[in-house]
Amino acid sequence: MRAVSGRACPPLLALAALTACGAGIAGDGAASGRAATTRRKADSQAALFAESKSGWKQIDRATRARIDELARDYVTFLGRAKTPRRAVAALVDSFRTAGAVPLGASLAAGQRAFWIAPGGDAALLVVGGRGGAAAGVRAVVAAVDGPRIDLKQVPLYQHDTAAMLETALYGTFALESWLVRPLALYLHLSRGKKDVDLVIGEAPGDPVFVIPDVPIHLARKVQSKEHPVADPERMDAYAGVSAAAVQKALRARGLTDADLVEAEAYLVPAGPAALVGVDRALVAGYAQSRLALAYLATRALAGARADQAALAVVLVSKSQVDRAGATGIGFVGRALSRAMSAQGGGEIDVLTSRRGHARTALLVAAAAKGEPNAGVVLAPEGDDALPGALRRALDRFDRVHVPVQIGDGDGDAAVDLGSLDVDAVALSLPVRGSGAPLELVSALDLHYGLSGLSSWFAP
Amino acid sequence: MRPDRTRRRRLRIGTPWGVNPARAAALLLLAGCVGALGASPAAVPAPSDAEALALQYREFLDRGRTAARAVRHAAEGSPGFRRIDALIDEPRASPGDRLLFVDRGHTAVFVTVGKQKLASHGARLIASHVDTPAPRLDTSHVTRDGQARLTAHRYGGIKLYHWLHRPLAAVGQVVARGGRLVEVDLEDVIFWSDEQTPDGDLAIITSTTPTEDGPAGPAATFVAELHRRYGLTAPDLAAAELYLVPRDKAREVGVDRSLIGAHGQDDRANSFLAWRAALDLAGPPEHTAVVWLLDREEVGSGGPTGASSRFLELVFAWLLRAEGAPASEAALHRALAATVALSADTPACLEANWPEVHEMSAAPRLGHGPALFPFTGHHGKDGGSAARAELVASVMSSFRRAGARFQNGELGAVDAGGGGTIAREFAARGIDVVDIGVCVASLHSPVELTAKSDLWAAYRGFRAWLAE
Repeated sequence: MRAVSGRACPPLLALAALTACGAGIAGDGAASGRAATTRRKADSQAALFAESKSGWKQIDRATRARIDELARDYVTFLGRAKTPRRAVAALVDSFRTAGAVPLGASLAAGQRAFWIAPGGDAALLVVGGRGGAAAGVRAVVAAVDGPRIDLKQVPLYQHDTAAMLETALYGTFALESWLVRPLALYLHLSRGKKDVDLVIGEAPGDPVFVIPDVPIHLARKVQSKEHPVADPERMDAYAGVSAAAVQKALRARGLTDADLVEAEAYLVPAGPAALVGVDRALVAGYAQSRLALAYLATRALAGARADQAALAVVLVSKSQVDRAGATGIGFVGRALSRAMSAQGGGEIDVLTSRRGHARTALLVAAAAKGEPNAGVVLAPEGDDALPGALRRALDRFDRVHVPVQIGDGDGDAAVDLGSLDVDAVALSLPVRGSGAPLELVSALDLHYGLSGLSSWFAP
Repeated sequence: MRPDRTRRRRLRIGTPWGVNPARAAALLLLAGCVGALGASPAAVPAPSDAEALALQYREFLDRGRTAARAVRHAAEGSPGFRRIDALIDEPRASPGDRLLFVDRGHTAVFVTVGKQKLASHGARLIASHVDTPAPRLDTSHVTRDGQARLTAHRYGGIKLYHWLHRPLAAVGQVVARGGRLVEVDLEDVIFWSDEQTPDGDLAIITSTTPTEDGPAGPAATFVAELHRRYGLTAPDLAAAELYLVPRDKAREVGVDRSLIGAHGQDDRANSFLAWRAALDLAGPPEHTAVVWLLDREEVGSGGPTGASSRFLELVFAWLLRAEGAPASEAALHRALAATVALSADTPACLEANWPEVHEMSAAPRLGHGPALFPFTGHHGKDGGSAARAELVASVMSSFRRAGARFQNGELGAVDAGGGGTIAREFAARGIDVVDIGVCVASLHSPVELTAKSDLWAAYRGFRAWLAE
């Protein structure tokens, strides 16, 4: 805001100001000398505040081209990451491309390694240098499980009007936003030692699934404005017209009723992620509140150089199950131990391990609110992050001029992980429509995230 | 301002100021030659089974994303029909002639002249609407200074939450200053909404970056794009009809591929089937067969392109004169009174997840054929209609003779809500009318559902009824 005068003239009383303050209005004539003084005073105060330098206006053409490339690669990744298993596989794949090997006993400094736990969680590592296990780990913890609609174990039934699939909810979300949109079915099951993966609804020409809604003509008595779908049992999906025809079609794809009972069967939004707007500067896609940071952290780690501490990305597959699951604390603890063991060249004693933990710092992906295009979001309030931990994170971002917003988080993830005796700060990207089947993330925020996380992993 | 030739071509469909008598005569001549040679080479052949019909139907849905586009697609897909400008062309036609009347590019009447005189025996009319509920983009208030979003208001009865968090395309028309008609097709751009405005509209993201030069905000980036593609400026956008539609094409739904899932099936389903039935009539029908594709049903059927429009009377008067009859008011009323009509519209199918809004014995089921519903309305007969038993019986016997399955149904349980159809607009003209149509599940949503087998049955039934 432009200063009006050296004297106190309430700006709202413009008319009064004209008369009472006389020549006090800045800009020209006799007042200009005084205005300059005022400006200097304002400048000296400005030094006390950070200048906000965020947004597309700060981005030059070369950077914009890099941002566009990042967004396109991320869009491709999202298309391959519709289930936790597939997300982990895609991220591990890209980390292998950067030279990673399965985590083994002895690894040299700077070696990239990965470990996929039986539950589908994974840890990606860059082994540290001279520090040994006691140097601890600098890591990002990110979840890979979006909200979704699961099939019940015996899902198929014949209704009067059509064949339907019984569903159950995974995660907490507004049910109505899942109605009347094309959904794809992802099935995963084990036949003996062989895993079977089947997708219906992603390939062009494949049929999709739809959860119907009651027509607006007839909705008055059964839907309220606040909760259009009050009962989760109203979320069954169309499978076809007749159950017999559906079973026949499933058999043609090599699937029996018994398979459905055993399978992990998830309905998620069908179709690839995409860029939104005439300027294609937003990414629309499924589960971005989770997957964006998982992707960016993996990409940052793939480009990281070895430091004294081990560097790690911990990918958690069942973050939405309950509070313990929400933190993924069980797996994060084991992953950190494995990282330190790799760092220490094998079994390490408890004292070394505790020292390593005490020196460990985590950024924990959370769902905090922030303004798009204004930088990454740190959410220390929800879990009362210690100022020292917060400062370490802030400085890492400042170092590469990534703007940071302090936002409100939902988080108890960071505080739960903190009880491992590690520093943990909740981090997120600004997501529009968080929790909806398709969410938006700005390409600029992806760029901020990648720069910031690369700095987090830098020596 | 006088439009140049290319502009004139764009304006041609049904816009009264775009008519060129010389070209109309040439077209007439051409159509006559084509008629003499038999079916036009460009005509898509009649579908041989339900799958072939479903494929043609999906193409109709994908190409006809607005009422005007559906009309244009149907008109272009009917090369055997002679385009008539009822305002100019001299009335003349003989039995078996196929005629097409288009008004303002938003409504079309397909006529196959019958063996019996219209004046004495009336017509067999199927009327169905090609407009559909969707958000309409408001482009009349785009400003330069930092405006981030546009708004979209409702065309027809939509639930706003259906339109959040999904990829949308913008399609429609802008009439620029000076009268240039621009078909806007932004199907390669994704528009998005993630919130409602306090006024109950949708806030629409068109772009998020500022323009490269100057202080302008994201909305200005959108205008810049329209300028780059179409030469449009913000003041041009004040006269626009731009709809936001789901970006997804029509798709098969269900593992058994038995359903079609797409926006706009209320009621491009029955209008497609009626149009296709008219196209595939073999030889001159007994009565003059008329299929009217209508606009503005979802907003009350008013205006020059809706079912209340006297455009139908203009067409009938032209046809009466063409058969040498006087086109007096009395003659017109007699012809209308002798006409029987199907108001082809979509009742809601029984919804498995919401059974209590239906009365189980009367709710139409998917896959049981088109539903014949002789009554509509709520709280008694508010906004409703009631058909004569004689007509109901004759329609049922036509369908039976064609071997086309049908069911008897209603719109929903009595007073669970309800809706109306265009039946009353025909009843008001003294035309005997009954509602019939394939049922649609998740009616008025971005992904409405129909059963392929219902489409097939309705198509054969409509064709048989028109021919008899």
